[in-house]
Amino acid sequence: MPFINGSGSSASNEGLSRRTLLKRAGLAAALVPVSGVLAACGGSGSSGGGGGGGAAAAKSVPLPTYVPPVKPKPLLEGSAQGVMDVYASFPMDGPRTVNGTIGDGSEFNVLIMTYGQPSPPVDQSPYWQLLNKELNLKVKPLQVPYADFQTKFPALVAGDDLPEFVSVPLYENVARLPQLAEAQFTDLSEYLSGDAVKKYPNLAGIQKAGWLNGYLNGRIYGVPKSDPVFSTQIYTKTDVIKAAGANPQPANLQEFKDLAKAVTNAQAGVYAFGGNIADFMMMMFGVPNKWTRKADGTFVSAWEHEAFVPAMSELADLYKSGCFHPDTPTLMTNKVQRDALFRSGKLAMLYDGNRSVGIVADDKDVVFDIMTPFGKDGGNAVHWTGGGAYAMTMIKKTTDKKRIDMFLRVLDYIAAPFGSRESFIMSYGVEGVDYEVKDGVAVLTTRGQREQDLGLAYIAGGPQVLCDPQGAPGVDQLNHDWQQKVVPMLLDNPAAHLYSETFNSKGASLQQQMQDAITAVFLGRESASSLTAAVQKWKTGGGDKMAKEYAEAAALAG
Amino acid sequence: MSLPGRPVWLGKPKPVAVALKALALVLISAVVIFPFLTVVSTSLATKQQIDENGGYVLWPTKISFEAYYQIFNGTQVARSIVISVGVTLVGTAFSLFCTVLAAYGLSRRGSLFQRGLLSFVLLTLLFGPGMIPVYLMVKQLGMLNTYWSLIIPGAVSAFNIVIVRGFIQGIPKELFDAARIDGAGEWRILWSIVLPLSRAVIAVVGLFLAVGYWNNYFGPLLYLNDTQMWPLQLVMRTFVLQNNVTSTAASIPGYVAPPTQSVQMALVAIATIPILCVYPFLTKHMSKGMLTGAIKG
Repeated sequence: MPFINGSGSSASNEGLSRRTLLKRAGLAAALVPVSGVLAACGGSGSSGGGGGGGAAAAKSVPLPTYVPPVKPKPLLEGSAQGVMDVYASFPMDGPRTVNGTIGDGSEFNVLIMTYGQPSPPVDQSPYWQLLNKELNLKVKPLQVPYADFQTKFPALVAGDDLPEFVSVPLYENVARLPQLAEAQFTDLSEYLSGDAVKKYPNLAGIQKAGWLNGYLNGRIYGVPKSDPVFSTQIYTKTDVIKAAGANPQPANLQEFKDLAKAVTNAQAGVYAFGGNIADFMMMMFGVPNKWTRKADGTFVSAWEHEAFVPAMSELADLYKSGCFHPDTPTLMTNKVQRDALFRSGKLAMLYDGNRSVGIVADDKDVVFDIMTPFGKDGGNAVHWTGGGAYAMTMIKKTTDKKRIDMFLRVLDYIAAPFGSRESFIMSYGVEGVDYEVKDGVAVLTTRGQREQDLGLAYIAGGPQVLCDPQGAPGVDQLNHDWQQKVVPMLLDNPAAHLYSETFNSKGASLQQQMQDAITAVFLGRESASSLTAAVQKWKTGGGDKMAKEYAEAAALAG
Repeated sequence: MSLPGRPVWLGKPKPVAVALKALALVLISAVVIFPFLTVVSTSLATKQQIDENGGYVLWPTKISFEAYYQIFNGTQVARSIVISVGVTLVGTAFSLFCTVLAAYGLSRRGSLFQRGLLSFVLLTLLFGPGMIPVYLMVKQLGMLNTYWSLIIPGAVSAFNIVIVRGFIQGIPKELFDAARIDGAGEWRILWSIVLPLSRAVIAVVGLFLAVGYWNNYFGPLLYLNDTQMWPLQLVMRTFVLQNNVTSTAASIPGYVAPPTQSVQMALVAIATIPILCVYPFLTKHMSKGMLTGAIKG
């Protein structure tokens, strides 16, 4: 597969020849149709066929040595398994963790995917100016909206317009990322592997689950931005549930069904759910996290698990019983309306990603709980873990060691742990402009929230924490307790950090095919038995090949 | 019922028929107006009322301009509106200029390379070049991060040329002959005869071009890396996308989520109003121009 060689892309200084155009169009054509069909493959709504789209085939260099970061004592301690620390508020006088000058006054051109609005220009953003001063750099972000990343990224690659530093969101499944990294980005193994990472103390505080995402072709190419290991949660509107005389914490499938029926009151417009809870049902039935690696080293997808079809059959029955909001087909993709219906009590339960607790808990008057997962016959369910990192940041290929060191010092600053002075600056900016202090707690202003959309804070980082001082009372304790209960149920995806060429090229379309089949069963358009044929089609369409490739990659990784 | 000897369509309609027609028109109008009303009402509603009504409000009990304040306070929306207006005006004028000239030239029988050029233009209707080749071409022409990248790549559409050319060909040949007898050259004929008679089709094509430029977000996404240059549609898109996921600031303690649904609706209202303002001035040309090409000969 031809690839742009970093040293060969100098067409901007020449006229556009037919050869150059065809060469680059061919390269980008390899990225565009693949990345165009590669939808987000993580989080809720996906299972069975996913894996790591572009991560390690082999861990040939040791992981960076973990050194617990210096951080303020939390209110509630987290754990190495992934339970998050809880803080009452953001300490405003935290310690400095990075000393000395970071940058060299040069430009820091970085590609950042953003979930927010375009940030104000630097001359109108005190936050941006403060970061430039702290880092001793001129930060110049190239912001790309998250939904358009797979459109913009191939164009930038084709035009050789990638900036010097690139933060790649891992769930976007950038096509052929290992090959792209090898061709265009710097191998950071000698700077980060083993004890070498200790030179950057905050990077050393990133845990293993995060670092595994920085591996490509067995080498370390990127610094991760860690994500919580917990994937999804069911939030319960306890006031609505208790008013219906139901138990908000069922212990098995039958109690869950009873709860759903008890809270549903179509005349009052109250329903149990307003979206697809297929993943929750699969976890309840013990369906594995996308893949299972058997003792003989072979990989079997979750779609082939014996509990998959029965789980979907139960889901379809639940939908048929009328416990789902009539607008469920549109609510599946309309998070804004779903959240509004939950807050107003029209939905008794809301199934969403773990970050959604902030959305539902931003109102002190919202009364809610988080449902502890359970097995269909009682006992523990399984809880699929996420990938461990949200993004990975790389530096374009260079032999300039000083430049690489500066890049890592910048990321070391950005990855400073919660409660540190650096983290406070990254999160809050300038007092009086970006944040105000109310009752001893820093609160972002509207302007501060907007300036935060610069996005620089999200290109590197260690474990996240729970801290919602503005939210419903006790929401962090609630989430912390929930996480501790769920830790024994955590189930990793054995293919999470393995590379499969078939997954990269066909994974998204195969995944969509299965999701469509599941949705058809859920909404009653097809019977559950149709899933058998859908799985067979998935297998022959590329699933079996993926299984083989993952097995080979796992054997190589050891 | 018609009078004896009069055609049915000239007969005076019965009151019942008139009433039924009026009712049908009212219902159809309501169906059309209802979504617009919902959009405006939701944009002016409070977060509490929006939550209570499950996301959409038909009639706000308490007016709140919080959403509009959120949008215009310190955001790029005001600037992006100016950019969108500028790109739309310049782009429409430029596209009309190119389209009319091309259509006129290709409508004159016997003009140099007429057949070859027409075939070349029609060929582009069959397939597009693809996103990456266009991006590379824009880059090589030095248009990346310039507003010309939003105008020039899509300035001329073969479809519009065919429409305008067909209209011009419908102008009686005698007018051209008379003008030539009076000593008018091709430019004079274009300016004094063709353009005045082509107001309808130019209005329609111009309106479609303007709407296209106004709504375009894909070009800015690809070609403008500087977010300060983004036009309204792309900025709006980031608002809408933001409100469907947790904002980047949401993980920061003390973050308070904005009223998302009302902000989305306010954006729709802001983006729709300029086009609604332009339409009334062009409707008198629309009905005539829409029929261009509908009747052969």
